Amino acid sequence: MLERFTEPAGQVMELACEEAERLRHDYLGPEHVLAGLARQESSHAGSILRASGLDVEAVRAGLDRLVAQGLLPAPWRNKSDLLSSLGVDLDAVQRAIEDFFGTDAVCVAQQRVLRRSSRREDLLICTNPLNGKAMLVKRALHMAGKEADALGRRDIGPEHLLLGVLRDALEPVSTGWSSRRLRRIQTYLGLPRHGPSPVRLIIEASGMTMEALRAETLAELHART
Amino acid sequence: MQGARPDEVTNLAAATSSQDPAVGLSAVAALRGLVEVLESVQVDNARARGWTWKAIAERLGVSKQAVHQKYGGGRLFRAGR
Repeated sequence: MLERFTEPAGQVMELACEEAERLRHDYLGPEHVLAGLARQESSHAGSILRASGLDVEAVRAGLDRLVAQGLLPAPWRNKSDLLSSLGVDLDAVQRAIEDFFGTDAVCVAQQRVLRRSSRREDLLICTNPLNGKAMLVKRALHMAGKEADALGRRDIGPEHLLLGVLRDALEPVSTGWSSRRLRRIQTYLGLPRHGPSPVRLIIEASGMTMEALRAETLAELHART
Repeated sequence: MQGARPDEVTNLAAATSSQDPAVGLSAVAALRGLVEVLESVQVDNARARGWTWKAIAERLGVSKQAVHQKYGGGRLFRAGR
């Protein structure tokens, strides 16, 4: 899926990581991607969001509100702070081990550990392996791909990402083994098991609906072709 | 709290007391994850230097079978390095 991303879409994912980092979250979720999309000046997706009252300040305020309400993880839950409560300096451990063995070796080890563990849904961003983020955006990215397919596009741009994030929030997750495992990861990270998705809450707090945003994005995509 | 940056300690203290099981248990889980990765890195390094599974197991204080089962997996699957 990632190989189909256009450069602007890749940029959105980097911005999303920064937004997760701002909240000291150990995972990357659709709500961070929404903030990343809102931050991107150059894309149509960003313009659509801003025109709907969802500029980056509004999305960030929405995220902060959800953290305060306990609907998104509090900052203390991040690995680095938790380990420092035990007197372990994760940054120092990471520096030491990368100096000795190199970043690649740490990535390989981390991936092997994740393959074995119950937290298998994790997929790593290897710039910071010991502190890598759990990818809880797989479903939204998959949906972005399906939206691009439906529009007859091979490449996935920011507008498809927005459609994917919206559809992920619109369609409830099915039950079953894999989603049960996903829920366990979510619970561990401090995300609520039930209730509306953070993306829906942020969008609706600005007086917009997901359906309307979706229709606008589709109209924009059709107008361009 | 040695080694922790002041802002981290404040974050943590502000959020909840360290007596809170939610913090304590999450911290232990984070530590376990870290230990797993460190062990894996060290085992890779030992194998790359030609250590036997037996020698590795002795240093880790576990059985040869345990370490082999956890890290073996055959040459085919040992990441191409």
